[in-house]
Amino acid sequence: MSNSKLYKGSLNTIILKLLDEEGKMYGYEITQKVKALTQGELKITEGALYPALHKLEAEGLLDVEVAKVDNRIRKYYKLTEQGEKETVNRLAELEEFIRSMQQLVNPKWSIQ
Amino acid sequence: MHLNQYQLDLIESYLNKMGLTQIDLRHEVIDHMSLNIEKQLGNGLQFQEAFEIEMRKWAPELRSSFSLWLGIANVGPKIMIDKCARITKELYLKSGIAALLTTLIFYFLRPFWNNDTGIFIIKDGLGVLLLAGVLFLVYGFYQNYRLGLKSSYSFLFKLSSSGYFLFTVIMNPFAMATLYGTEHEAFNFTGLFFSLFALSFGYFTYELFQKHKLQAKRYANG
Repeated sequence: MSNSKLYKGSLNTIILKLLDEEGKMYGYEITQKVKALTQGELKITEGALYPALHKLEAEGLLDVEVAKVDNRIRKYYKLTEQGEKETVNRLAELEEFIRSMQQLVNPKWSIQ
Repeated sequence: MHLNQYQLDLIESYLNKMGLTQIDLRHEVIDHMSLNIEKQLGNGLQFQEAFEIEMRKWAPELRSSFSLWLGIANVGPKIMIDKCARITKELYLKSGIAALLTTLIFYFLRPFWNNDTGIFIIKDGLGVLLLAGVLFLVYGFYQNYRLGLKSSYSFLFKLSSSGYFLFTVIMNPFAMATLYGTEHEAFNFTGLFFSLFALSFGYFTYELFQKHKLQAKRYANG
């Protein structure tokens, strides 16, 4: 990731959330989607993205599909049933974390 | 603008040079590099310029690396070694837990054993199971050879199988008669733990072969 260590702990949740919304995605597509959604603020490097994807796959949260596209093989990731449940849990955890941080950093301000 | 076959071959040659031959990682990296290069071609860059940018970007992930978990003699691209090291840690942890729990079961059932018969069954039973594990892994080796493909799992399978063969020679009760103590001593549960660890390790190593087979099937169909 380009700009902040703050994002590092949330990378897996970001990936799960994107896959939950998009259905299935390939690695490059995830980097571009994150870049577009954050107006270039957050850039996921290859060195951070692929180990995270492989770990989530090993944990049984992601399933893999391969297809031949433009004369080469493309690897798509999608959520498993367990992955869908875990996404809900991790998003709730992240929201709770953001809320706690807001209270610490700016107690008078709230997103809700 | 899509890359032509010659340009894709150049990327493949580069990955061969860097040692990234494992199908579960290689195709993903080729696709990612190709998409980035195509984007740069769209921005007006020449293929060679875009390819060099991409090679620089991937250099940290593809540099030759090793992990103490795999042994310093086993080097490979960092992206592959990191994946294998993580799987190996899990392999040791799962084997350790399985061996510990089974040893505890034997330990608590100790008062119910008939001494000689019980020890005979455990020793010979485990000895046979450990040797059967060798046969399963040899079968895996043969199947790997027939598939003729490489993945992170086949790399780890070969490595872990070698460890299992060595372990079996040392920890097999047929080869080491005093592993569980002698008839004049109390039963040695440490020896039992290590034999069970080797057996669990062999089982999870065989699972690596199954995962490799899955990768081979997946990419053959893709």
